[in-house]
Formats: sequence, structure tokens, C-alpha cells
Amino acid sequence: MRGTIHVDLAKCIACKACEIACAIEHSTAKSLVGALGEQPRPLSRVQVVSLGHGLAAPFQCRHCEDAPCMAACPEDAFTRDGRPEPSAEAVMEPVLLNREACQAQKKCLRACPFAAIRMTRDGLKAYKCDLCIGRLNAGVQPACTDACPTGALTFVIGEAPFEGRADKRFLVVHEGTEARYAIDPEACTACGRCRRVCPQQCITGERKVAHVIDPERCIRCGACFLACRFGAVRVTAPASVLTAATTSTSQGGE
Amino acid sequence: MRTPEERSLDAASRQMLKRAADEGISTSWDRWEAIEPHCGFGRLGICCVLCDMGPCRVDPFGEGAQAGACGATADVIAARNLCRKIAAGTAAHSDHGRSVCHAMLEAASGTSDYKIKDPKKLRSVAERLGIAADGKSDLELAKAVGETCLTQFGQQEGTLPFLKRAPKKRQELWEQQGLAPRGIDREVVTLLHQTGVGVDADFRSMIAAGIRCALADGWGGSMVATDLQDVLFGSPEPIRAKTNLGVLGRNLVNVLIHGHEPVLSEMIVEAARDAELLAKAKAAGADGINVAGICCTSNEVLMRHGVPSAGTFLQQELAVVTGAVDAMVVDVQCWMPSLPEVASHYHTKLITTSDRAKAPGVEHIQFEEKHALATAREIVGRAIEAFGERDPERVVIPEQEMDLIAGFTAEYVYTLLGGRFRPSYRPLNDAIINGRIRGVAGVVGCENVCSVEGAGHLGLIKELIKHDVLVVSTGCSALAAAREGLLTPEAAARHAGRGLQEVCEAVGMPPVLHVGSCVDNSRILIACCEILAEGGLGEDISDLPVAGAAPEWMSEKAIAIGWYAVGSGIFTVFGNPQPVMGSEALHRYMVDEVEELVGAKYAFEPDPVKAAHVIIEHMNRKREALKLRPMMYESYAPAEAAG
Repeated sequence: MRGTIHVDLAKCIACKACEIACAIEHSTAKSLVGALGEQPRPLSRVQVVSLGHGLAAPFQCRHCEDAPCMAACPEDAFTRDGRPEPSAEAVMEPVLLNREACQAQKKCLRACPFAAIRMTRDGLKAYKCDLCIGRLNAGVQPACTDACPTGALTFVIGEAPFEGRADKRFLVVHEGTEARYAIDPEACTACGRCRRVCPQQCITGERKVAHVIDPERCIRCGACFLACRFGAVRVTAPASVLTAATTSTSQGGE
Repeated sequence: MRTPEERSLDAASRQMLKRAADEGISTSWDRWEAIEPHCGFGRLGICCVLCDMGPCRVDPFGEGAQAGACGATADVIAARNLCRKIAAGTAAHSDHGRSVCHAMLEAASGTSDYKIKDPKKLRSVAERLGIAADGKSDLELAKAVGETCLTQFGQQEGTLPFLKRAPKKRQELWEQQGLAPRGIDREVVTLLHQTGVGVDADFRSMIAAGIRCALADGWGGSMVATDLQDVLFGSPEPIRAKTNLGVLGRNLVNVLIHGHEPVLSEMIVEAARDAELLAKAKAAGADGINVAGICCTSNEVLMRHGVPSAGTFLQQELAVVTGAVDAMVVDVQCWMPSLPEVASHYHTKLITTSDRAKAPGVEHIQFEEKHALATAREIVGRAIEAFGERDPERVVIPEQEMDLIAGFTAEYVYTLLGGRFRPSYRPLNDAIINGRIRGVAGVVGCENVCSVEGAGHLGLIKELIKHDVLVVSTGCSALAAAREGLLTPEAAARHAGRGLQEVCEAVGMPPVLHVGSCVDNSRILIACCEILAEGGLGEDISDLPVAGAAPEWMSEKAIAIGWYAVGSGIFTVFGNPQPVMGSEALHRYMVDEVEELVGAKYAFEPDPVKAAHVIIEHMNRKREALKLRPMMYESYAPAEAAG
């Protein structure tokens, strides 16, 4: 089974069930109670990140078609679904990290625009989301999408993302939402980090000119949000119940 | 990570936040950020952990589970959770009241360190309780009062005596709606029962029980605490004092009291005046012993003795970070479990005193009423010892300390406004009727680390007084206002609207009146009763142009207070919503329908200026209904902005 993970920002309630499920799935015991006592302690490959104003979203490896980590690794530790190169059809092949080959050089960490790669606690190996390839091969959806109680994370079988729209393809898409990423011109220092990191190359700006995201081409991947050191990237999701819940103005009738 | 400027409006807090960061000490702001984003199920009130079939949660987006395993919907789950918080808040205030009853009985023995400092108030309380005073000595009366008050906790039937202080119409409403509490502990027990697995499945029914329980707090536990504390320790009168971290002394033994019960803090204050201990302090190289407070216990001794307040709930760790605190003495409520860790970075001796509030590895000196002063002396002695271990190189005390006037009570208003010879509420009622004062707002409650410290209280209070609303304040809110200088008469000239300015000038009072600790919110209930009794402003509390507000609330106690305010007919505005937003029906009930039941409702408004206008509009509606004159001066005329 192959497919894509869809993330709906407006539905992420920050319960972090995805984080727990991911850690359990990548433990030896594969159960909550068992995983608690394990050494080394299991690590989640997905992190729920606060986007401000009550919004949050799970961030994990996007399995980019043009994976910068793969290109950066001097040990060729990355494969596409087990193959050293993308297959001819190049559809839905997760980027997998071969642990044995990893020499902890961290070039992948630095190359990744989504901060999706981390080092184990002992600093010896890199790790990242593997799209639960073992489960997929057994015909079962990834642990995070299975665990998500609100449908913020869903697994869509067999769908090719961004048909006819994107320059780069991902297997984890922040889609299906009215969320908008925009740059606050007051806060932007025009440092250009967002521009350089955007996989869609949809951010324009020059030195000393506040940068602007093209909403038509933006795929809401969040790379700019992670890159900005000045908190200038603002995320809004007008329909979100969460924004209403945490910053609600509510008065009753007269 | 938020900068100190993004975390607090206060300069002293900011300075200590920076120091804590430099020294690698984690504060509640850091820990809050580490948890962000907070789980939405919890914030929406739709996570149920009552039974082992759970934990269950309802999908607020309507896709996934819409009920728990037992069938409890979002309405039921949110209502249960909310009512348990009411029970917890009521329990906290009422347990405090219980302690004061015990201290009263100690005082009545005649051989206690506790004395009857206000015999006049004793007689007035006795009268309210229906205890005949003639022929009885103060001690005999004290015994009768203590025993009668104590029975309120355990009684099963009947009603609480202080409910009779409310206007007739309000008492009738409570009777008709079945909201009159029968016994303090009983209401807490019943509410916990009612909100358990497979009991009440009707959120309106639960809320009614919640209101009844909250009333057992406001007109029961809290009111007992306030009144008996006045009897034992003196009824407050206007007094000058200082607040903020700058009150700590560089060359003084600093004893910081934190928590809630004056049965302890009063004794610490007394012990600190002990000649022998002072000599010991001098021998240790100090110029004297400086008692300062945090939170409500600070407000108690501030109101009665002018003991300086070092700070609020959020400043408790920051006070320790000055490196100047020799002993931090805590009893119950609002002290953070992080204190032992923070104190370990300095010489500060943390001491717990209540059998209900301990921490592992922390020295515990059990405070017993029977040996009150002796225990207090022992504690102060520890502080003097710790002073010897202080490292002067590591002491950084912010210079901020602000003057304030505190000490206002419902009783003192008579004298404040009417003078010594014609004590009366008339001038207040007249001012409201004539349109100098739009109404009275009680701005109360905690500080919450989720927002900028002080922004809620100051934003709301300043906007209210700008529009001629007289503000009465308690708890950390009062201290936050005090930090900014709002508790001085000069603040009226700087910030108040013209009508309020005139009244403040005529009386010589600040535009924000500090009426005490959080149990002293009961004073606000009594003040409403007095205003009504004076006449001309309706017949029930819900007729008055008054409102309550808790802009930076965090505690379950704040929820209980909000519900007893609403249950008593006072429109109440909270900053963050109470955690019910996952249930549309319950939310709507709180901001709308509940008014049909009790004549008042809630509004949730995190923006303090908007919240002020919600209150102002509410007061305008009440004024119109009472056919009062229009406001005398609708325009805002502050003194020079430079102030």
C-alpha cells in the first residue's frame, strides 16, 4: 500500500496523540506500557508545532520528490523506498534512512527545510519519519494517521499529490484547509531565509524589501514558518474552532 | 521563547526574568512554553478522565467520536469538568474558612495567642448569626460565634445564615430555584457525586448544583473567613503600604510569607516584632527583620497592618531569584511546586507549614493554632539563621516599589463616604444616581502566564476608570494594579474620568479600592447589599450597575468566585473563556440563558479594552432600566498625560 499523509491545520487540536503513536510504533515493545520502560526511550518522528493563535500542526518529513537530505548525505544513507534512485514512475516512494550507513555527519539535518531530521539522544544516528513503511507494506496506514482523533492527519491511499500544480512533490501535504501563510511586513527583516527555503519558490523579496508569499502557489508546507527567526510568518485559519476557543469574544443576547 | 518584555509589563518582573534566564533557572513562563501548544481537548473541556473506560474525548469538529464510552456528550463532559472545578474552588475557600473558625475557638479559650481584636465586629457577626449578645463577654460570644460558624460546614439541612444578608428578592429567587445552599461541605460532596460516572446527564441540572455550591463559598466559606478574620485580626481601615520586589531589604532578614491563611501570616508578623528575635537578627548583622508577602496572605496582612507585598502569583519564583529571600514560608494554595527547585539555586530556606501542603525534601514546620506564636518564632528564627548564609554578591533587588493605599471594606465605606459623624452609603448611591459614577466593577483574580503579566488587569481597570466606573479589587489583581500606582489618589487625576475624579478628590480616595484577599470577594457581595439597602438603585443585586471581572484568571477558585457572583446576580466577564468551548450549548447557556435563572450571566473577552466596554455597556443598560440620570460627564478629561 502506498499513499500520502494529509494534514489539515484547522483540525489539529495539539493533543499529540500522533507523537505518542509514532514513538510507540518505533519502539521495540510496540505498546504504550512496554515502550515507557524501554531503553533507549522511543522517539517520535513527528512533532506538533504551535503556529500561534491557538493553531498547531504536526510537522514531519515530507518525503520530498527532490529530497535535499538524499542529495546532501555523503554516505548515500538515504534511499527511495529501498532504491538508491527514484524509480521511473517516481510515485509515492518514501525517503528512507538506512541507519547502519549513517555516520552522524548531520549534513541532512542542515539540508532539510522542515527540521524533520533529528539525532538520537546519544548523538550517533540521525532519524526521521519513514512513513511507517513496515505498516504500509502490511497494508496498514501509518501510526500517526491512525491515531489522530480529529482527522487532522489522514492517510489517502494511492493519491498523487499536487497534480499539475506543484514544482515539487511531497508525500505529506498540508492541504485541504483554508489556512493561509502570510508574512507580516512589520516583522520581516528581509533576511531571505524563507525565500531560500521555500520548495515552491513562491516567496519574493530583496534586501530591505519585506518578503511576500504568493498565496496561489503556496502549498502551506510550513518551511518558511520554521525558517523565520523573527516570527514574521503568520498562519491563519479562519474556520478553526481552536482559534475561537482560545481567543473567543462571546457575549450573549441583550 | 518570549522575551521578558513579551512576558510581563512590570519592570521588576522583567529584570528578574532576565536574571532567571541568565542563571538557567526555569520559571512558569518557560514551563508553559515547553507545553505549548496545549492540548485542545483539555482547553475545550471535552476530555473526560472520570473512569477507566476512558480517557474519552469528543471530536469538536464533528467527525470522530461524539460521545464518551458511557454516552456522555460534549455538553455533559464539559459541564462535569466545570462543576468539579467549582467544587474544588469552593473547597479551597471553605477549608480556609474552617481554619479561621478553629482559630476563633482558640481565641475564645482566653489562653491563646489569638485575640479578639475587633469586639465591635464580633458583636455585629453574632447578631447576623442570631446569637444573643447581651450579658456575654467577648470570649463567650467568640465561642458561640466560632461554634455556629463551624456548624455551617457540617450541617445537612436548612440554609446558611449569611444568605439572609442578601436582599429579600435575591433570597426568594434562591429558594424558588432551589439554589440556596444547605451546608458548605454537603454542597461540595453532592456536586462531586452529581458529576460522577452515570449520575447527572443534564448540564443545566449540573450547573444549578454548581451555582448552589458556589454560593456556599461566597456566602458561606469565604464570608466566614472574611468576617472571622476581621474579628480576630482587626477590621481593615485605609492604610498606606508598598508593593513589588523592591520591598525586599538588602540588609534585612527577609521573611517571605506566601499562601492564604492569616492565622499563620499574622503570627509571623507578630513574631517578627519579637525583641529577642530582633536582637538575634542584629547580632547576625542585619538591620532588622522584614516581613513581606506574596499572593493572598500578603493581602491579608497588607490590609490590616500595611505589611509590604513583594508580589503576585507569577512573581513568586522571581522573588526568590533576587537572592534576597532568607526564608519563604508557605501554607496553602497558589504556591508553585517549582519553588523547592528555584530556592535550591540560592540560600533561601523554603518552609512548608500545612499538613495539606508539603513538598518532598522541603523542611516542614507544622503550624498548630495551639502553639501559633511559638511556631512563628521558630520560623522567623530559621530565617535569621538563613540570613547568615546569604551571599551578598548574588543579591539583586529590583528598585521598583510602589506606594499604595489598601484597607477598604464594606463597613468602612460608611465612614469613608459619610464621615465619622454621619457614616453612610448615601454619597455612593447619590454619585451613581447623579451620573458621576457609572457603576462599580469588581476586578479580581489571578495572573495567568499565558498572557502578558499585567496586561489584562491594567488594560481593563484603566479603561473602566477612564469611563467613570469605580473599581474595587482583590487578590493578585489588586496587587497588579498597585504595582502600576493605581491604588493612589493621584491615579484618579491621571487616569479617571471626570465624574470619578470628582468623587475621588472629594473623598480623598483612589479610583481603585483594594478590598482585600480573594476570600474578601465576599466583601463585594456585602457592599452590593449595602448599596441596595441605602436605596434608590433597585431591589435586587441584578438591578445594580455592577459587574465582576477576572481578566487574567487561572485558578479553580476563580471559577467558583465567578459562579457565586453570577449566582448572586452580578454580570461577570472572564478573560480567557472557562473551559467549556467544546460544548456549544453550555457556552451559550453561560453567556445567555443562565440570566433567566439567576438574573446575570457571563461574557468571555480576552481583550481587556473590549472587556471594559462590554462592562460599560452592561452598566449603561442597568442605569437605563433604573431610569437614572445620564452620565454627568461623558467626555474623558484626564490630567496632563505626563502625570
